[in-house]
Amino acid sequence: MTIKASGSPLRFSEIANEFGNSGAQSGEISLGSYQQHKLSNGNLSGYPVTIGSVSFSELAPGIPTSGEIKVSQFYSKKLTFVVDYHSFNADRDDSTAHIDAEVRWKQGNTSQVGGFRGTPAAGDWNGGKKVVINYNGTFGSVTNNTRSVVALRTGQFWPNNTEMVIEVGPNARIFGAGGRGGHGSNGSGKGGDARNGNSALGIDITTNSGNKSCTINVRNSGYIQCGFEGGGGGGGFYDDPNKSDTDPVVSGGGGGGGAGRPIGVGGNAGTGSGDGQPNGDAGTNASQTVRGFGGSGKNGTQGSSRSGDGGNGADPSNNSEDGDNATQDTNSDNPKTFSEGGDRGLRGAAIRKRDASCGYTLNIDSGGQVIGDGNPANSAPTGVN
Amino acid sequence: MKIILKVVEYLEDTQQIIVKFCRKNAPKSIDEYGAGAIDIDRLETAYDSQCLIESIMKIGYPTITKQEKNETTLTENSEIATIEGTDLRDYVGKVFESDSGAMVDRVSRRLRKIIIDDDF
Repeated sequence: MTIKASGSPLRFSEIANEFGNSGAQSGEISLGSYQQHKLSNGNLSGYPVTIGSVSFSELAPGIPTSGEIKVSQFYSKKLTFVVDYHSFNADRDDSTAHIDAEVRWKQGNTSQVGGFRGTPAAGDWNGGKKVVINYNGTFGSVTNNTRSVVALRTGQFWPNNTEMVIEVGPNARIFGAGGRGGHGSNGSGKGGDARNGNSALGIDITTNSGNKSCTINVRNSGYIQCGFEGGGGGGGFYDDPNKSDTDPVVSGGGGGGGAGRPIGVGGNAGTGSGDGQPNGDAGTNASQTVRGFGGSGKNGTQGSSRSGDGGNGADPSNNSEDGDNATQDTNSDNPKTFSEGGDRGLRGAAIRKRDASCGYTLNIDSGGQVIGDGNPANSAPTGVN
Repeated sequence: MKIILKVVEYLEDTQQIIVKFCRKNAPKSIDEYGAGAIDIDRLETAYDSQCLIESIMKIGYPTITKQEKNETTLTENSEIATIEGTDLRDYVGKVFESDSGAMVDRVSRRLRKIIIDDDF
């Protein structure tokens, strides 16, 4: 709590230090004005007031919004402010300036409930603040094979006595990046390994000391999704199936991309097939929420050996697949090389935490979705980058 | 084998379609199979619907073959007999298996031998 508990007289200046001066003139306070919210144009508006997607019913719990208001009602009350992630959309792929909520707070990208003061600095914490991080736009990560890379994170160095509430609003869509499909083989070689998906939201505020807490509320239609992995590339082959001088070397297909934002792109088509022999097809790109398909392997112009198909990528409804191995014509006169498909990638997380000192409570309203590790909270992997 | 597809979504922003595939005689509805995304620039849109559909089918074909491979076998069909001899009386009432691909291979091998013998 910021304002002291009851037991000694409370000064107007102590209320103003916490909530700002509410009087008509600079430096003045008006207790009655605390029953309303000061808009950016200077006008006062009655509660409830909405900031971003979050509705506030009063200045602080227990402060009346009409009728009599008393100084004693301000004992043990603290300021609530909202870190703005509701007025814009951004991907880490395009910009890194926005990803850390602690940085956005320190840069002043906040709105204070009551509207009577500016962004509180760490030195103004006065024993505690309630911080609402309001995600209500589309936020993607950056294509990166490291699964601990996240689209958004809380930031680590919040002052002691921070009560953090992450409000994932109805328009929020937060994604980890999808993993690329593995490339089709080069000639008769092994199919390429797929890339990993990465993660959506990182909790790096310490909550096991300093009286800090973190609650995540996912509202109806709010959406958090891990980055899904790509499928492996198909293996190639080299066969000498018969007396023909043409001994086919045929490459495999590329793997499908994994769902996420940015999307996982399909693996490249196979390369290096012999003269007149087809290369395996490229995998297809995923969408934000749907996997890509693996590209088709091919038969050579002689015999019935076949290069491997690329594996499909993953999405919320489908697991990824390794690339297929090349298959040998069982009647081949002189089989040569038949290579394995590449490995599928690994999956990112919806929510992860920096280490065991970081925890959170997860509440999901009907219609909200959190897809991937981190839901439930005890499944969150550690490591946030 | 007849194969079918269903375009379940057209993503105008990203110029992709979301498609489901399966065999026409699959054991469940196409709606129960997983979907995948395809960029429209991978498709043949310059001619007619048949070309377009075939270009989509071509991308889905590996997925359909995997579906078939991964289908579970009825327990009634999973008891496969092994017999050494060729007395057909021993075969009655038993279930045997063979790879359908091997059927094609045997035919083509016989033809190859005829051609080679003629050349030499």
